[in-house]
Amino acid sequence: MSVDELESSLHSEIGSYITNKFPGIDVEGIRDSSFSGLGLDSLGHVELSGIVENVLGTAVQPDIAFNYPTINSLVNHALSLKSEVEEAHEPG
Amino acid sequence: MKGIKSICYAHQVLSFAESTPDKAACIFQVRSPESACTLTYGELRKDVIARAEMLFSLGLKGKRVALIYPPGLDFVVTFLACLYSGVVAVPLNLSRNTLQFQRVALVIREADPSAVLSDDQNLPIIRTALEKQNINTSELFWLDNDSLSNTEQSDSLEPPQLEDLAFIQYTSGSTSTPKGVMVSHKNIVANQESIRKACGHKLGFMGGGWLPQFHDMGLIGQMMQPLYMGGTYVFMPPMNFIQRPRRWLEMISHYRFVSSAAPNFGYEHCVKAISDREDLSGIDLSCWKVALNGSEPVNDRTMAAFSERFGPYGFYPKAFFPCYGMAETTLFVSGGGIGNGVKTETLDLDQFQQSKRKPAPTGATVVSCGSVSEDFRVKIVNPYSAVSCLESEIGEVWIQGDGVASGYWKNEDKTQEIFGANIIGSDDGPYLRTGDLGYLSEGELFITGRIKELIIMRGRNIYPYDIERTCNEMEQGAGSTAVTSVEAGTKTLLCAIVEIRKNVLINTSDEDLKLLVRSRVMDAHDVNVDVVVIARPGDIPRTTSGKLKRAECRKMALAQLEEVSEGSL
Repeated sequence: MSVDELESSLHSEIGSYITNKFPGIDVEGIRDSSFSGLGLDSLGHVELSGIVENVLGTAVQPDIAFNYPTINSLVNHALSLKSEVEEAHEPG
Repeated sequence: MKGIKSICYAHQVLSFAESTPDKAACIFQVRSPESACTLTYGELRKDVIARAEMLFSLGLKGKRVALIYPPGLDFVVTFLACLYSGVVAVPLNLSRNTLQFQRVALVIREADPSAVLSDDQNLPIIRTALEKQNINTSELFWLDNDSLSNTEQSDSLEPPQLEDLAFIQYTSGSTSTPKGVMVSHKNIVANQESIRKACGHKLGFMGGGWLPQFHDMGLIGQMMQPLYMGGTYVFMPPMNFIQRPRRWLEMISHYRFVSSAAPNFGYEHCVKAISDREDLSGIDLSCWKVALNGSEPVNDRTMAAFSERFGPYGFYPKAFFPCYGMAETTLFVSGGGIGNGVKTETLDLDQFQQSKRKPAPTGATVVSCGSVSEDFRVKIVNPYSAVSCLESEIGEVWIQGDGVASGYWKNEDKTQEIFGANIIGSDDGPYLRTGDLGYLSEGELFITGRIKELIIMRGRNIYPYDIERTCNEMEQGAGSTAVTSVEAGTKTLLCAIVEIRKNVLINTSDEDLKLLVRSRVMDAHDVNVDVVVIARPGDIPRTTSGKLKRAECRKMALAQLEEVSEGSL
């Protein structure tokens, strides 16, 4: 998966989790709003880390959504994690 | 002392190093079985004794030490080392969250430990965080793994006496002041025996799960019971369960657990968060004979939903084992029996609200918390008059037995009030007052609510939990409600703070939502909610462990009451 595809997939999966939790919410308008401001509890924050794991296909820390508490910051952090993993596996 | 062994818990556990040195005592697994770390009984014994000797050589016997570890094997070794050497452990939650750390600082001030123990990575972080909370850290020993392992052999390490204080269990508590329950070595062994008998655990059994190690159910039940039986304690960090609840089920299936526990929320999380699309084909839960459900109100509907969802993967509904206990009784008081599953009773609502128990075809549903352990004597007592209740009455649960702790650390008034209760007209006390309301039926304990949460309206008992459940089931609700009462002049007003889903809030007026809440509660409970507060998801104040902060909820209700004091409520 290219970086663009990965980014789009992360936005889509996290977005559908949020709309599932808060039906009727306009995801486009809240990409820089904090998850807790939207009403997401700590359990929901940890669940988000599971969604990121699914998309990346690699393990991530359960507390990342506390440290990157908006959709945009979480997606950007997830992309940086993916590139770290790939660099570590590059030969030479 | 009938039924109590004369050997202390840690000595009993380490004795398995002689009979089964290569057997796994603990397996810590963060994710998959490939990531697991194992400690055999032989290794456990060596590590525990090394740390015990170090603690002893520092002169810490009989003194308190704070254990602030992340979930893992280090906590197991250090906790056992404290028990082995007679050092009084105070297990605490390691949290980076500032609010939770304020609570840790509060406990440190009260427990006044001589040392703080953690792993190499976290110890300096804890020290800095405590300094920020104005704790004088220079007078404490700071012991990481390195400083605990550099030791010389000591010949003078003697086992503690059974009557000695073993550790202090701080209760999560809904109130601002945490209470430290003083648990003796005798309490520990007595309660391990109670759990063994009730759950039918055999020597060498496999058990464990994801419960936190600093919490009574995670510590006494999940961690200490398998080790007490020479079995294997398999565990993962709580967050890893929250992140992907199927990991718990995979762990049970992979290691063939006989027994595993969770509060009701854990079962609910599995039902809600494991999607129907997930492939669970490798999971076989048929080994799971004892599925304990305790430490918060047990919900029969959650257990039915769990059974339906995971029955196809071998889960046996009769394995459900609702149970009851608390830190003040070391842990376990009642549960099961084995293979009985969930048992409920339906009581006439009018009678129920007057503290009377009359079975009826419809009304209030109460879940059995299982058979009372033979090691405890449970009495149902009127909490206001201290007179024994009749069989047909609901009252406060009072408890006596070898598992009952000796009191609260440095709090004699509270100890006398809670641990020193006597029944009027009887000289068989003292009893522990649990603050829980319930009744006994054919040797089984049924819990109906908490006294402090009980609201008496016009002579009727209103159980906040029941009304909260009704509000949470509204399709407009976000699944969280706080019901409380406030005093206005001579009147007691019933208040409900109801979290409503965001999209509903946008499209529906607060006044319409208030009407809806009132009518739902009226239909279900025949009582009017005087003050309805419509809240956004996450607005209801809760403690770190998710319990309602009722005092703050009252403030929210009062604020609304003042706003509308001239108009309708």
